Amino acid sequence: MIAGRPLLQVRGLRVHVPGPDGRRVDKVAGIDLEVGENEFVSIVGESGSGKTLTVMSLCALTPPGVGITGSAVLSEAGREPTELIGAGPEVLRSVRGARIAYVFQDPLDALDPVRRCGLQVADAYAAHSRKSRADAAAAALRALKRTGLPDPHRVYEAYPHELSGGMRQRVALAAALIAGPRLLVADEPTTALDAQSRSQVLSLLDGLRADVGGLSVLLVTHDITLARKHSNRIYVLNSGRVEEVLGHEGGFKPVSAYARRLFSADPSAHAPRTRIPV
Amino acid sequence: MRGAVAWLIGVVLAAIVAPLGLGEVAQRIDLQAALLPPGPGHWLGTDGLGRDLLARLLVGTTASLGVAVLSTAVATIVGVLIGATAGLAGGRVERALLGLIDLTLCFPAFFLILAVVAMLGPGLTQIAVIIGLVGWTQTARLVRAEILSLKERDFVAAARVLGAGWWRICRVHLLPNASGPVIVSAVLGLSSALLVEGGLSFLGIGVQPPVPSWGNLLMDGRSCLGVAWWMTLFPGLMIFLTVLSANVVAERISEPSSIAPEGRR
Amino acid sequence: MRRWIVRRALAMVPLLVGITLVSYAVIRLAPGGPVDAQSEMNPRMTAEARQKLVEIYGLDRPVYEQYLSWAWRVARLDLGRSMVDGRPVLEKIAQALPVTLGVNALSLVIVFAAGIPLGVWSAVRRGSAVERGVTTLTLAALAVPAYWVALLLISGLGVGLRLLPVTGLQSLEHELLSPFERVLDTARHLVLPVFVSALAGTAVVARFMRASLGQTLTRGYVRAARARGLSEHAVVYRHALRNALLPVITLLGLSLPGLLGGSVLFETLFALPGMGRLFYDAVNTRDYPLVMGVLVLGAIVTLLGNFLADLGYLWADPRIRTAHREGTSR
Repeated sequence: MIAGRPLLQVRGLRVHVPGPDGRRVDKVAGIDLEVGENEFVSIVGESGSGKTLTVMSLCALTPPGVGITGSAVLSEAGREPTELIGAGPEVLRSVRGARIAYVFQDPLDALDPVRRCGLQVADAYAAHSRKSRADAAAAALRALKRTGLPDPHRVYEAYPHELSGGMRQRVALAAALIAGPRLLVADEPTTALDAQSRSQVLSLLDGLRADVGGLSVLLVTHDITLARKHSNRIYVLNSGRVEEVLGHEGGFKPVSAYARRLFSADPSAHAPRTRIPV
Repeated sequence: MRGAVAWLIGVVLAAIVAPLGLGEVAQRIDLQAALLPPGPGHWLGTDGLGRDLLARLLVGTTASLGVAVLSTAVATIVGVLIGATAGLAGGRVERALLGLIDLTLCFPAFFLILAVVAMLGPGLTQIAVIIGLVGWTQTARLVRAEILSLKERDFVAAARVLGAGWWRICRVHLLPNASGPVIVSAVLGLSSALLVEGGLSFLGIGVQPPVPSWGNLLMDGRSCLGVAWWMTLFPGLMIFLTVLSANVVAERISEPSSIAPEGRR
Repeated sequence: MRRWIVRRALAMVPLLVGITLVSYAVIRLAPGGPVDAQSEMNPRMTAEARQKLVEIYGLDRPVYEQYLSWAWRVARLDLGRSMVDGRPVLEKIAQALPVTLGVNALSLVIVFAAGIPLGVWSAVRRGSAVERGVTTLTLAALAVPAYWVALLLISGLGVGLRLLPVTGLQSLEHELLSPFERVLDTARHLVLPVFVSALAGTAVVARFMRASLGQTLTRGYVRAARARGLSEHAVVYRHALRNALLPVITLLGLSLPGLLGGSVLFETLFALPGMGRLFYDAVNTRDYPLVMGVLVLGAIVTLLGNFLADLGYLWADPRIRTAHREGTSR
């Protein structure tokens, strides 16, 4: 099913949280998932289906008290495969940002409100390199420029609240990609944005993938249209399990009742679209 | 937690019962038995006039706790009234009341209490009312904030549309929402009133002898410092344990909503 | 931003008026007015002296006129003369204020230097023995009457073991000591008062800091910083701590009145010649001009402290800075 070599292989991933009576509650109940090199894979599902927990558990970014078991192996070409689940803090730190990067839903929440945007991008660079602060600053400026920000110098000096939502998400993207990761996990990256910035951010992501070459994307979304448009493969999650895997070659035709219901909420599925007079 | 509740219940019982049973014992002077250390006859020792310290501490509970409870009641009533008025009235009234809160907070509370008590003369009720009149600001802020957030909720707008008056809305919606924080702030006010009364009496400006209170017993202890350690140790311990218990209880009540600082004041 | 500062300064004017009103009202509370109370305290007061007092304070005029003339004098920094020794009130305060401010500045340094690390420590080590220890200690420090701790320390360390001096700022032989020994002498005198007055404040700051940092650590930008591979140290100290410290600035301003109020007890206990001691004596001798003067100045010091804290907040938080530059919020 995978086009290229597998980059990430998840087997039997379980995530449990402490329940109200102290017993474990499985939020993710055994998920298998693959992302190939240079692939664009989406995870869709209702809210509470475990999408976000699944991708956050890969780099142990879950809140304290959350338990993760199973296996997730990251294997890049020319590198020893790394088991992520249960990895120590130093291994995790070297993976985060440099090999697997994250973009979050709300860019205002994902940027430190009292630190200049450029410095936050430079921080991400410096975390994985021994170069000087000046080098980090130069790299950050280049990264900001690559994301198509109109005035990278001004953005570098700006605080997050001084930018628009779309600009903030570009800053977050620049910070995510600056250390050259092979896999980008994007958790609802467009939900908090307005319609225009939404399509811009996604086409920017496509452009960046073409630029960098060999960047895989794991997108978490409830926007079926978006997932259909960009993905090679779509995982449909239902209460912590994979309900269905849909391929591009199959035209993303859902079979199960759950997936059909989910996809029927997608406006692009009802062609031809009729314009409602306003 | 259980210990704290038990201690508080014990203190309240002592405040009610002790004056009835021990009032006379606490005042009995026996110069033969002056300054006895803790022992079988007098469990916590005696003071310079041979009076039993344990009896005096138990009887002193009435004054100390009475002042604290009364002042907390005053602070809570004033705070709720001012906070609710500010939140409901809005506009100029609200600004004026907020100014009143700021003004009250400008004065070092202990300076103000000390000055007023000294001017009016030390009476138990006066002390309690003054401590209360200085300590209502926190409650007022809480209640006002609760009303403001309530005003923005849909169900309140719906109730307004349906013709419910503010009084009814406050009774049905505000009281259940605000009572938790108000109780917590009242319990904390109780402990701070205990500390303040202790300090006043310790300075000789609060509860006046011969009526014993924890604070003026501590003042007695100060005059016998280095001679009778028990006269310093036990009154302070009473204040400490009672305040500690009240704080523990307040903390436990507030835990589910876990009070955390949010932005600026 | 300059406009904000001006507006913030102007907002203090009604408060200043309120401060003088309250301070004036307090001494009018004495039954029969100040002169009655004064003569009652002093059996030697003759009818003539009484008349003189009435004239000095203009007590034969209506109350609002009396207040206005007093407030007008206060506005020109004329706080009158002490009734006890006839010295200008301002002079007496000027002599006492440095002692109080000095002791309080030292204890504020300790409060924040000890409280912040304790709070950070217990927030970072949530659920550990460290956190439980800090929680227990701060609970105890908040509940313990400081004057009692002071008494225990005086009887234990001072009277019992003779380790530290317990009264005043200087030993009797202070004048005979070398400059270095003088500093050491004063420092030894300050240890107990500063420790006792810093106790509760340290607990307040530690608890506040723990709650603030604990909340900040759950924020999205902390997770995002971790996701970029930043070290745990950088995540906590560069991102979370900076944000968690912002509300502490306000706490600094708010803690001033409590410290000033507490100085009455400590300065009486340790016989320090500061504002608290001065106020206590003034209240006891019914020295009205001095009582009013200390009340007014104490409140003004607090007002200025809050103003400075707001300025500090403005300087530290870029969001508020922008809001005020654009004039969008208050």
